[in-house]
Amino acid sequence: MLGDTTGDGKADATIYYGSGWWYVAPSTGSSFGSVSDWITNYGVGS
Amino acid sequence: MKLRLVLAGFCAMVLALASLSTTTQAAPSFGLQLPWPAGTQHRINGGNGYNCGTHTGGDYYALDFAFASGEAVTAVAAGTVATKIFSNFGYGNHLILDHGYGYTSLYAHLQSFAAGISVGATVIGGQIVGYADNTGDSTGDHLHLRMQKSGAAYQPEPMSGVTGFGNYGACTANPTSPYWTSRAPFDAQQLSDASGDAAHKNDAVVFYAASGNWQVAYSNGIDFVSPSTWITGHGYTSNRELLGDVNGDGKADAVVYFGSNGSWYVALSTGSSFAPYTLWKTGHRVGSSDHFLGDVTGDGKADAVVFFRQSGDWYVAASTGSSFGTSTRWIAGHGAGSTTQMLGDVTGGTPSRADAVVYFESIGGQNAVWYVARSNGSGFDPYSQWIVGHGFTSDRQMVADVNGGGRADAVVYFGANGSWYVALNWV
Repeated sequence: MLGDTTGDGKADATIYYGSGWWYVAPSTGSSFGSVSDWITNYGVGS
Repeated sequence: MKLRLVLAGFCAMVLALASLSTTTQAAPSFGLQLPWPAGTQHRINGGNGYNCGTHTGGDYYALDFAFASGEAVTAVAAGTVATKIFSNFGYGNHLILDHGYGYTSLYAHLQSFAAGISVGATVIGGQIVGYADNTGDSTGDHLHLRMQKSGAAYQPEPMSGVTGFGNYGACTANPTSPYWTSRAPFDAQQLSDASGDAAHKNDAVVFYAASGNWQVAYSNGIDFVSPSTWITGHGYTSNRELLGDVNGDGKADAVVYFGSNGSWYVALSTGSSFAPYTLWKTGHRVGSSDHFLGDVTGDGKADAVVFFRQSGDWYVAASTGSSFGTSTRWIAGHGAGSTTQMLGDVTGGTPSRADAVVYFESIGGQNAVWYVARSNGSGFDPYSQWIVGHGFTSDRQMVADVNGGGRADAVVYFGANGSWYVALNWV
């Protein structure tokens, strides 16, 4: 998924796993930076 | 305008995602939808090891779903009809769809085929292709679904955003399978600014098809926090679930589409919940194959846009702020047969208007071709080629402004190794 999750005006890369893990790699403007988990156990069964 | 290809290389992400992935196969370059009409449910009653079944070889990952005789079977993705056979043996009456690049899906033991299904015909994902039964080598009414890639068994996951169907290898007698609801592949988890915070941070929004419940976890810029249910029973049995600011108040609203009559229902965001839903439009439009919310008119309110894959027709019902207006055709023949369709402001400037973008895996002897039809506020201008050679065999194609340049860039994702490639949109 792409969306500006950080609020800096640049869309960030987000991955969702069915296990409820959401990972975001924020955009630096010229690449996607370090990936980190933003929430866990959210969306299981959706 | 020039386009610069940038490898958005983030090895850390590749490594992190690879270590967490449980499915090593690459997904096809399209989403898969469970093979029954959107909004309805079926469960598994057999597979390799499931109920001690014996699917092997090229059928290793094949799944049996419980169907009653005559119930509709739908295509897992767009493709062409490669095989249509009437038989009393083996797979019985069965159909094979060719999805391109070696991917096929087989639907076995059918009672009959849907109207218009003949070898060479094109179908869209979710289209009814036949009706279930018990023909051929079968002991009861069910659908046998098999996917293959280049002739080898292929695990058809995720479908409708769901993974974990199989029980491959281990014999489990009479397991209890959940009921799975079919829906378009990418609606269950989305990013959008539902809360309407000053920085317009995108929140994580989840839709549960089985209940019509929507949950939101706020973005605080570094995490998604405080997940809670914002509305219940909104969109149960709907065909599409979308997010967009349809009333122009800066907050993304929850919108659902029902294909049976082309109706759109809206639940407006209050910033901390979705208000009770109301009907905004009917008849926009039965038979359409893809659906979007985007501000194509440039008035700050997201409009309801539908696309017909076979004709390439795009229809818009512009938001008035409290309903969607007359459904009118904005362009014809843009993206007929295309792999993916998107809305995004690739033009830039003020006002910001969403343009209609399509991606072809192959067309006219070229691979990975993007076309855009730019919005003029009351229609889409004639389409033109935008990019060539960006994203061939990718699993997802998207448009979004990833560098803050004020125009949507073209982004593709490869699931096999977690790579993202960006074609920045420079003027």
